Amino acid sequence: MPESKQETEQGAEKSAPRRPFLSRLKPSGSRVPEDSFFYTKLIPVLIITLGVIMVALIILAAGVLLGFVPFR
Amino acid sequence: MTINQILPFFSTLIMLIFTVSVFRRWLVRRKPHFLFWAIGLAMFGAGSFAEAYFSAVGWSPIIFFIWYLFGAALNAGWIGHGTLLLLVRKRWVHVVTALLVVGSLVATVMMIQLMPKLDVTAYNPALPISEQYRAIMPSVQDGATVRLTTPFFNIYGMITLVGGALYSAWLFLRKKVLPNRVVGNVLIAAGALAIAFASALTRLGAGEYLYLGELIAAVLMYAGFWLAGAPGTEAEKAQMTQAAGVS
Repeated sequence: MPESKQETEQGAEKSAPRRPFLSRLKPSGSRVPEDSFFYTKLIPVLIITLGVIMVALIILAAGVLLGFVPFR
Repeated sequence: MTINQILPFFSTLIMLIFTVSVFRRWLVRRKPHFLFWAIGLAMFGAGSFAEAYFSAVGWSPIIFFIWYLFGAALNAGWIGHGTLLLLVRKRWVHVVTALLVVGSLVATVMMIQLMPKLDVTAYNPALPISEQYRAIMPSVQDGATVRLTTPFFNIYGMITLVGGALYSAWLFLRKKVLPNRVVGNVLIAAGALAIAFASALTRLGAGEYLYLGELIAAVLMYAGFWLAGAPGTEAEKAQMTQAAGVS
């Protein structure tokens, strides 16, 4: 009986509608992969880097407002 | 026409698609953050359209009004306020909403008062508007007080939009859930920083990078919004289809 179940599952897989191309580009699943270099190393570094750039730009803009940084 | 003058056409097209998709979400869900995002993105798109218009047609005072008020001053604040409405459900947010609306009206009045003082003879059709607006507008001392308002809107918009996107990405990453929202929020933050960086360079006198920054921002933020968008239930998809008038 397991064989026939397997057959049914395979049949179901074959008949399942294919996802559109664009939605196949999205990261799949609802859990972040535990052993992924992308999610464990690269993304945290990116978040921190972007945060640092944001703070630098805020300081620059505040400097313009307060007159420390000249602008034309 | 230089490559720098062609870029706004692409930015305008992307922002139009982006704005329509966010506005459709607001029509379905009626959440205020979608409305503020849609208005802010429409302002961003209007700014890009103004640049494209200057490249293709030439000088127009109304188009300059649109470019400076919506493209340079207001859009970041409105988009960022949408993020604040999404993340914070407190009463004081309504006060901030009121301040944003009143501040935007004050900036509009200042811009109207500035219009007769513009030096149209300084306009050069061969140059992008971002490289010559300082010559067209008078100084702050001579009446262009609206220029003082732009840092407030832009700082507020950057803190709420970039800070909110990075905070959301960090939360999802820490909980190890919804990887699409992690990546989507990082892209939104990167896109917003691209235009913030280009705007800062423009204020410091290097306006030639503004259009490229806008295009990068439009592409990254739209990609981020699309990625971060929840898959949606069948009922929601049906509502979307109904709202779009598709049978």
